[in-house]
Amino acid sequence: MGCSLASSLVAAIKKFKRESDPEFLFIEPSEMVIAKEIRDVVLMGQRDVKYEVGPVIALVDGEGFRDNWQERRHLLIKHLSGADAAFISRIDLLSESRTKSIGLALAEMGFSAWPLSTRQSLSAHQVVELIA
Amino acid sequence: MKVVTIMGTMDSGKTSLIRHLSAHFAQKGKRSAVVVNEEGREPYDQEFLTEHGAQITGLRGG
Repeated sequence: MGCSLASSLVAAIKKFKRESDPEFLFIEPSEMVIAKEIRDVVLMGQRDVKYEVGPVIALVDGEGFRDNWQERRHLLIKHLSGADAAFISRIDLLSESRTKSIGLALAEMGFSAWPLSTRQSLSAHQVVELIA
Repeated sequence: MKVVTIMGTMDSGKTSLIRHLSAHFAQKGKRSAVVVNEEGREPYDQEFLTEHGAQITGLRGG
């Protein structure tokens, strides 16, 4: 994450805290990022204003997993390392066996990831519990 | 205010999950806001934001 982007993110967090102070502020990076990097950026704003730093949740796209695993495994591992929880997302688009094989591939690397489908409300309650 | 990061590849369902969570917490009377890259604002239509009392801001390149 570049310096100017990090600064913009910190400024946005502080602005929300000062102006509207919602119960939850969701950060949605556009692509895979490294959990530690984003956590460090989120922590930076605490120097000036007080807010709580909640979990960093990693989604592993079930449909695109095969390509990401073959082409960007190193980044995917970095992405998952340090995340507070990981979920295999959009599993309503996958067969049960494919979901299992993704879980096994991740488990072999030491990661556990729950299957998630907001469309089917599968595991969504786990995310809510993590956050609330 | 609690800051929660939802990360993943493009089309991994981040927006769907955040919409789901915002709607869930709105039902409990809790407000949400989202920081997203400029291109990612589109799925957060005005109707959704108004209905759930959510706010959004976009970052360039984020």
